[in-house]
Amino acid sequence: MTKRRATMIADASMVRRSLRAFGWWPAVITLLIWAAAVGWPMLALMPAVVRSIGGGDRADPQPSMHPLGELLTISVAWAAVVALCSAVVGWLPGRLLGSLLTRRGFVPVAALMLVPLCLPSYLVFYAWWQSWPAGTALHRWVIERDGMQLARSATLLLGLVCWSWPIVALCVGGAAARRPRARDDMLAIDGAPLGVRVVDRLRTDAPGVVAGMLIVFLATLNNTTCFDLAEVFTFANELRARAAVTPDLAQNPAQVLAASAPMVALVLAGCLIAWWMLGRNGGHAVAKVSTPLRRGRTMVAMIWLATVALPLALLWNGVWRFEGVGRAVGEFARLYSGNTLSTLVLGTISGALAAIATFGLAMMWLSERRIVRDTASVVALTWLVWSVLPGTILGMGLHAAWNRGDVANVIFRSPVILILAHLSAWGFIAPLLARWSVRSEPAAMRDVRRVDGARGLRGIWLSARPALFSASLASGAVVLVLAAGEIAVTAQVMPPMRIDRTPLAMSLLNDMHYQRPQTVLVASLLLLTMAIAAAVIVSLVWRTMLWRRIGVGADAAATIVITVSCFAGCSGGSDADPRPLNTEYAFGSPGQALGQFGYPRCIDVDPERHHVYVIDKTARVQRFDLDGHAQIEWHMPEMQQGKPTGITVAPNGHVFVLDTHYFRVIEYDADGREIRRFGSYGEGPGEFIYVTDLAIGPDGNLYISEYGGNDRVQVFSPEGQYLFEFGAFGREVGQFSRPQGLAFSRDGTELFITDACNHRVVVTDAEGHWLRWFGVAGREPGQLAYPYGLEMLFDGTIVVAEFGNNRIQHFDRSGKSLGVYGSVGRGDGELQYPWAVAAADDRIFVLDSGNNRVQVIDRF
Amino acid sequence: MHSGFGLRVFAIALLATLFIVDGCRRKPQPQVVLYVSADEHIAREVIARFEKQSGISVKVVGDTEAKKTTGLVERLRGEKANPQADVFWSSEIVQTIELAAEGVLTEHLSDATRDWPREWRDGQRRWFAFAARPRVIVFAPERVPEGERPGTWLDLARSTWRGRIAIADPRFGTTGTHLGVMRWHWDREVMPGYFRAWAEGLAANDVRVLPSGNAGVVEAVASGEADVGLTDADDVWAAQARGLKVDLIYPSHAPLNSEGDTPADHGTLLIPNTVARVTGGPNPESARLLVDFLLSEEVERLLADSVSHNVPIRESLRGSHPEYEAPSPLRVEWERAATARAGGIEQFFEAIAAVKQDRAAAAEIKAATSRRDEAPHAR
Repeated sequence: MTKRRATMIADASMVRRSLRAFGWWPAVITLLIWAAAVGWPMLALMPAVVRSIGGGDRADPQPSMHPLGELLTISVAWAAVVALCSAVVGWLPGRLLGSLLTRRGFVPVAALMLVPLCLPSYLVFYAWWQSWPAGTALHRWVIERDGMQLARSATLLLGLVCWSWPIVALCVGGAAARRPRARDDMLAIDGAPLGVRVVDRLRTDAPGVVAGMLIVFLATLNNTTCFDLAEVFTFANELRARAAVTPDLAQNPAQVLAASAPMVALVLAGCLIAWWMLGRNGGHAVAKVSTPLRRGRTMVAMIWLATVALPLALLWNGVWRFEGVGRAVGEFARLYSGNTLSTLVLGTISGALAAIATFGLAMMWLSERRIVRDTASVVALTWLVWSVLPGTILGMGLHAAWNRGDVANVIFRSPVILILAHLSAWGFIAPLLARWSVRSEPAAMRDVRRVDGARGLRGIWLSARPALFSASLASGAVVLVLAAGEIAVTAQVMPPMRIDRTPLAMSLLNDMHYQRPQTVLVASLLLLTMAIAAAVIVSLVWRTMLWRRIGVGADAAATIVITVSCFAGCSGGSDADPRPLNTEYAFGSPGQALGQFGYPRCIDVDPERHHVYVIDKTARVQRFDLDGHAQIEWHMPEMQQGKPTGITVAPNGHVFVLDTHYFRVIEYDADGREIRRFGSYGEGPGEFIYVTDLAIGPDGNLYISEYGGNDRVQVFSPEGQYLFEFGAFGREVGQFSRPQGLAFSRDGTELFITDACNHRVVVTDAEGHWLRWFGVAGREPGQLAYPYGLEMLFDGTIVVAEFGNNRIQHFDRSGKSLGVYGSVGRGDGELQYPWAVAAADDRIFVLDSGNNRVQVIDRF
Repeated sequence: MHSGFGLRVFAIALLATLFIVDGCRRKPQPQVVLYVSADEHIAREVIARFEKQSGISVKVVGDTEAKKTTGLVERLRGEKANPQADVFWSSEIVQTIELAAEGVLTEHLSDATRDWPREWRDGQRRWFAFAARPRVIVFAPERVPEGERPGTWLDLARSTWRGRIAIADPRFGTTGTHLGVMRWHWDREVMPGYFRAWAEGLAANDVRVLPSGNAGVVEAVASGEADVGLTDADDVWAAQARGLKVDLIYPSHAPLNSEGDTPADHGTLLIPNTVARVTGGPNPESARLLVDFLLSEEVERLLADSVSHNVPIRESLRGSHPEYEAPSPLRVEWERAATARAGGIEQFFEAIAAVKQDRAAAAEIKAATSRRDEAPHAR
């Protein structure tokens, strides 16, 4: 190879690498946005923060009306009361949302609830305050009793609760969606009194209620405009005042930072708790088809009408009486059409950048590289913390970062600084929705993408596009609307602009103070329209994301993603060349006659009596001899809810059928006569959700695995008496995600469990103590993709049926792979979604589910 | 195909950003940067006229009512080394004087301002005053009948007003200026410490300090949260235009004479708008034109005709709006009064704190006495 050619190849390789890196542009832009709006301002404030640790380096320039400690107490008290009231009001609507997730009507209801949230909170308070019945007998009565201050405070509370209860409702909606309908049915059957039912519901909804209260608490703590309008001194307002009267604030923010320390600490703690709860609630628990909430609908409708529709209607009525809507609209158009347009343009850019940031952060979280995922987490967490700090500090940060006599000034003097202000104040929506989107992705989807090597922007784009696109769209819409009403930071950094281009919110606040409600009313109509549009988008997105969790099971998701990934041509598959099965003979064909199958999913062998039992999706149990001759069949008693996925033959020849979707186990004799049945729906001892397999321990105890959010193994005496259990849902040690197959070692000391959705085989002792595990998601030998069936061979080795890899894999007892056999296809020795495997004497029966047959091999 | 879509999005975002940055840097026509704390509605009208007459584009930075002038003043201070503004149009005067003393404002010489009255301009011509707003007491006619209405500011210290007075946070806007003027005037004209005593009287009357400004004071009176309030006349006019039942009094700064009239030069405080050029502003020539325009008769007439009904200070417009004239305006030496502002605010807050402290101490003594009286007399 000539030197020139080598150089050309190297250049081409570099170009390819560059292009591949370019595929990450959303992530790169996200980092740039974060750096400009959050990272750099934070960094620029650091010297002042260090100085502030010493209490600031200047004396207090102005005396204050209230000591800071007193103001903090007032602020915390207000925030706590508003959070509590919001929880009381928002709980029932949240339950309604949760119950509607799987039904029609979710989108309009969710959109209606989101409307007040998309309006600036001060507008909601203003609407209420303008509706105060001045001049009436009530008004006089209140004045005579010197109660106007109290009345205004009550109105403030009302306004804040009207704005914030939907936050609690949304959080509760997510939690309530996971509550299975069966639980309510059982309580109703048991005749549980109302109190018991409410407490039971509260137990399910508590995480949502607490998360919602926390968010409302933080939002109220930082609210300045509402308290301004209501003439209430708060900590955040005092900080703003101190910032305004601090000489040379841009260069010396230490004093204000020192004063803000208690609130920053409070906010920081709140953020960390919210982040933890978000991660916790966004786990991979499967959403259930929940109980319809019928009786509460009227109540929810009344709440909405009273808290959202009523104040807006009163406001419009007020302007109608005062000047007339036509005149108000005319004046608004004359004065503020340019400001409205300019605000919309800036808001749209901020929204677009937030949308890109959502996409970029989600991409980073979906990356295979830990450092990229960790970077995303740092970016998101700092963004969240920054956003919930008082607006005064955000403004100071932007000043410190961009108000410099150098290149940065180009940004500070231009409207770009307003976009950065929007992203500082409301940009946290992007990481929140990105995290939500990523965490709502079924684990199966992620695992299969990993299995198929769908990496990089293209792979992530193709596999996760619908959710990411939706989340980005929602993020953009919400940030656009919220940016339009942003004041706290905008007021501090507003650059010189033409007066007909200044932010609309500033003019709006000016008009509120100068007592011109007519223009405020028109603006409220405009914002209301935008709020409704944004709310509809977010509701649609929310439904899309949650539906994925409800409707797509692990196996279906796997199938979809495998198909998508293969279609996309992502680098899939292993470099290893699996050997075909050495099939001696096969039996079964598609059909419903005796000896035929309609997607068989479980198999077991009675080696002593030479019986092979297979159950398919027609809910038939068929018995064959070892050569594959069909002997008899019988049907399960019920099959509408679903069909069994597990079968185990006991040493006495009895057959245990794991009737998965009826939450029970039925024991038959070899001819199909029912001996007994046990188990019912539930998560308590002796209750089941989706039972998958049964293994008989050395002392005759029955080990039964199940999944459905309660993924565990329960142990019963031979008589069916509950003894103990082990395992829980999750991905960590001691946890399972769909334990699908069980088998004891020949000596009975070790129990092997296929942890299907964690792509591993777990080994415990007979008491359930975790001993070890082997296998990770992948296609290489030693790796696994959805291991379902498991069988212990006579030589002490293990054979595993890999549903996701269309093969079986042979392991020794320590977990070392001894070989992989079979590849996807319909020919001899090929497999389609093998569910299970069984062994008798020297024969191994591989249930080739997708091909409706059993392939029998006698050696690897 | 999908990558193509992504690239398009990226390209659009990039272009939009460049467009904004570029749009901000381009100067298609002469421009001037104005920092203004006057009511935005009025400023719009004035700016529109100036742009039309001069062809100069005006960019503004306003502020919210709560921080009003103070926010802009601190911003100008912060930008002293790197000035962004050309002209400062303030709705009050004392903080303009402070800025001039700090070198933030520069001298302005022009034909239009050559004969500007001495009492309404800086000795070094760094600022000029125009179109004043009277400081007034707003009251609710329904709750404050004719005979009870305060005639002087001193009346507010009487115990009859306990729990009935509202005032805006004096750290911002004209309220702080007014306290400064009162302190300067009373401590000089009456006796040292007189202002502090008055502030303590106000504090003893549980004066309610509102965070949202003078308009908030008027609203508090209108809604019944207070019966009287210290505010600007233009906020009362605006409230009346809205149909709120409030009225105003032009109080004297000295006891009324035997005829019940305000002594000459001791009446209502007029706080003028001020205009000044910023030292080192980026557009000095345009700034000169804007300052001259703001000080023109046309603008002062506009402000007098506006909903704010500002009181013109130039002779030619005196008496043009007699219904809004303030009686016997207080004569103020603004440079001296300006130095009293910070101290005035401080003393006001100290008075409130002192009254709180006294009450707490009194309550403690009362509680101790009551415990002692209730205790069994053991020997």
